[in-house]
Amino acid sequence: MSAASERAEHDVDPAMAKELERLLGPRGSGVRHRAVAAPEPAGDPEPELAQTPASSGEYQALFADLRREVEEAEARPTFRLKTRPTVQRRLLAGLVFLALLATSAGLLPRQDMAAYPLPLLAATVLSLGALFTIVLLAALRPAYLPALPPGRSRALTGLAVAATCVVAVVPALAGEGLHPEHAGFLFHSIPCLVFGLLGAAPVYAAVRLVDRDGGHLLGAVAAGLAAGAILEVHCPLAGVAHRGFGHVAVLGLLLAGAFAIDRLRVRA
Amino acid sequence: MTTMALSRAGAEPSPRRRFGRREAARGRVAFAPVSAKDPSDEDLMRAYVAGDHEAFQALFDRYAPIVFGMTRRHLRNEDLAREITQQTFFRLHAARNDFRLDSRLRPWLLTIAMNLVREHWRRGKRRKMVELDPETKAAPQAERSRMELDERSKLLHAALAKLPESQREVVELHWFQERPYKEVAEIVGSSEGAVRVRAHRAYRKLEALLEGEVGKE
Repeated sequence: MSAASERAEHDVDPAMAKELERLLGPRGSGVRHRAVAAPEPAGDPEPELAQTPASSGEYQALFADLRREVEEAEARPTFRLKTRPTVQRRLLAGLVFLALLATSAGLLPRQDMAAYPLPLLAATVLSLGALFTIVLLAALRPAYLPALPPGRSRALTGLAVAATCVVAVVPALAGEGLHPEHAGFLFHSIPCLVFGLLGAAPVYAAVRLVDRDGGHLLGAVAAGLAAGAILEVHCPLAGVAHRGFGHVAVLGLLLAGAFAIDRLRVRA
Repeated sequence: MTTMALSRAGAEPSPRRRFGRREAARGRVAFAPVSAKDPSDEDLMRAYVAGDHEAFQALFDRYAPIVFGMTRRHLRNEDLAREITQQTFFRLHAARNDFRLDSRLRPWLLTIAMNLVREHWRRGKRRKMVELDPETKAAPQAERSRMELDERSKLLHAALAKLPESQREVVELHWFQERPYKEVAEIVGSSEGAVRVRAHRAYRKLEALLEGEVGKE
């Protein structure tokens, strides 16, 4: 019996272990090969390994397929980005967001920037930025961590939607920002919607480029939050209807797109 | 561009390639030659991260049967288990630069495999009722007839199928893969205490489910 087996046996109450062995078969019967560091004693030639239906020839064929798949993947320039360490992948996506935010603030700042309270602007942008960071950390997880439970993904999505909605009504509640007095809110909302989607697209693309697991939802959430922050430094309008259709809808459309892609993938 | 193409059959072994030299020169990796007799999993992984592609094949040879057995037990579908085994190693390749040099490979690899199994379930694919060969069953059953083995296998799988996924994966890792609770907790992303509780409940439930059937034998 290996050292690992002996150590693990102490995990189970002996009486229960005996009963389970009768019912389930011996402990460790799923182990067909041990690490060389903990070799089987001589005379125990790993009987299950010999009996496993997948023969060594099949494993060789499996490895040949794997080798082909890896070579094909390596031929794609984007694959190198996915193989970078997780810290670098996260940094890359974060830097794209920061670059867009800085560009928006520097080149296309809100018209009332001088009059708008800086603490309020900073609080909203930092809140969205913090949430973006959390979502990004969840979206780009290292392989050694268990996958994020679906409940946690949904909770993060809900939190992002709620935060975007709250941010949308803050200027109106604070009595800040500009209120357009002419034309309908759609007239003002559509440019913001387009601007937001244009801001979200590079962030989403960056997350997808470095994402290894094909998770669309959190990538879309991160892009929606980034768009919210970018719009916050760009758009001075405070109308709730405008912000609903021009700002919050960006996240809504991204989420709808992510759900649609997921549906298509499941069907495929 | 560094090409991480895997070794071809019959190719001359090259313990250190371009990527490996560069990484080693940066002092990021402690290069472990795979030529050492019986290298540990971690030595192989370190060598692989440093650019030794033969190490990848060695890791595959060592772990593919384990991953295949584990995924087949979960999915009860050999083709799917093959696919997931392949995907596990593909992800290992993609994520090799995340490997922490002080960590152990086995839980790392099994975590990737378990993530893929969970992903499969989440995508709504349902388990196909494929009978396993008697050889895959757990007990030392030389003395049992094939019919008995078939029956026992069906009962065991039916009982396992009645467990919630969270309990089933703990039983798989703890009982069939013989992993200690601490490592199971690491793989499933929970605390050791919670895993112990899950396992205890699962074993009690399995006892209750199987007792009536197997106990009669």
